[in-house]
Amino acid sequence: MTERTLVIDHLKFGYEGLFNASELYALISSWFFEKGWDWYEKINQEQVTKSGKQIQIILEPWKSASDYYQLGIRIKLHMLDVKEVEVEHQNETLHLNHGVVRITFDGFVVSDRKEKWSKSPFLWFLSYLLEHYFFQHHYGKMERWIKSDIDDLYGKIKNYLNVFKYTYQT
Amino acid sequence: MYSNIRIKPKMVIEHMYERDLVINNRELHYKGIFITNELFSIINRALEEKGYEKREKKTEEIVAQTGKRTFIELRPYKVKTNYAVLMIKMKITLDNITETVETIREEKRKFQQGDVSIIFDSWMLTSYEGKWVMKPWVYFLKGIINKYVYTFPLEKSFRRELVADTAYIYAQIKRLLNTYKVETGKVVREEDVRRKIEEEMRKEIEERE
Repeated sequence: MTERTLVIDHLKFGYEGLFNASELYALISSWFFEKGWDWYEKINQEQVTKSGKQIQIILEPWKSASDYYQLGIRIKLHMLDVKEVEVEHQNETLHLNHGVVRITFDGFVVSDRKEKWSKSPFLWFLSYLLEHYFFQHHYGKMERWIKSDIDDLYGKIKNYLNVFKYTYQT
Repeated sequence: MYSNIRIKPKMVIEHMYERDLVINNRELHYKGIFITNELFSIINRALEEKGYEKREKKTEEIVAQTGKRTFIELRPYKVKTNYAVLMIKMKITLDNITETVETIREEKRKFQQGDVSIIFDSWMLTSYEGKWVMKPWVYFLKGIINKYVYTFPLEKSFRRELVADTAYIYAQIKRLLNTYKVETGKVVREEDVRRKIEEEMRKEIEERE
């Protein structure tokens, strides 16, 4: 039975101000492309209202990290009250957006991605034993991988929007 | 496809636990100059000293014409046993932040100026494996015994530790922010701040109990 383990639970990001919606989307998609992830866009919904565009995007890219494990990220990207604005900067007119951005990240490690070990109860039991007692470091590696990937993407988005970056270093 | 969603015991997902709010909404406000990096560095150091695993939960920034407003929520945690986890929720708001240059001891230094607000909520999370929480009658009975009959020594000590840790972090931040008030000449000893905060928090808890 394919199991997925939640590693990052609802890491949140919020921003309100000027930004470029298409650039932000391109930043996220190009990051996944560069890192060799497989792209999956689950929902892309747009509503045009009086207060601006309400955009909801749910991304669920994944990566086969080994024969047994698969990494998965779920990104819920909400852009609310998005309006198009023109800003003068260094004698240039920039076409930007103004609105609220809310992003939620979830990170998973999926085990037995090919469902080879769930064909019989004995195989499942064996895989459980091996995974939990003999090859724990494999799982640990996957966990660190997903954590560092999400941290990297989170940092990239913060950098792009010039948001204060909290780091774990003293 | 994913028929079985699993949460590793190492993960701290708050809704899987019995949650006990030990310190509720302890606030720290400051208005004036400070260095943001130093502020977060002292928070990180204090957390490391007390053995907490650092965890960022949320970052939010609002950019308006009047200035920036940054909100950061940290949820560092310390795993005590297979049964108990201590968690300090810190909601840090930096409002109306502008940059300024001040001369201190004939030396020019770059500071940030604005309002700092830090809110502490300290939680004791029990039932680590998420097993006990599945049984409401166990939770109820344990609550009654804990409150009226006998407080288990382990839980009591965790509570004390959480209060002391929160007081330590609070005091460290307060001490740092007070050092920026050079012009007022106000000096506060760390031990005094810590003792005072600890006493205040204990009183609050005793009053509630």
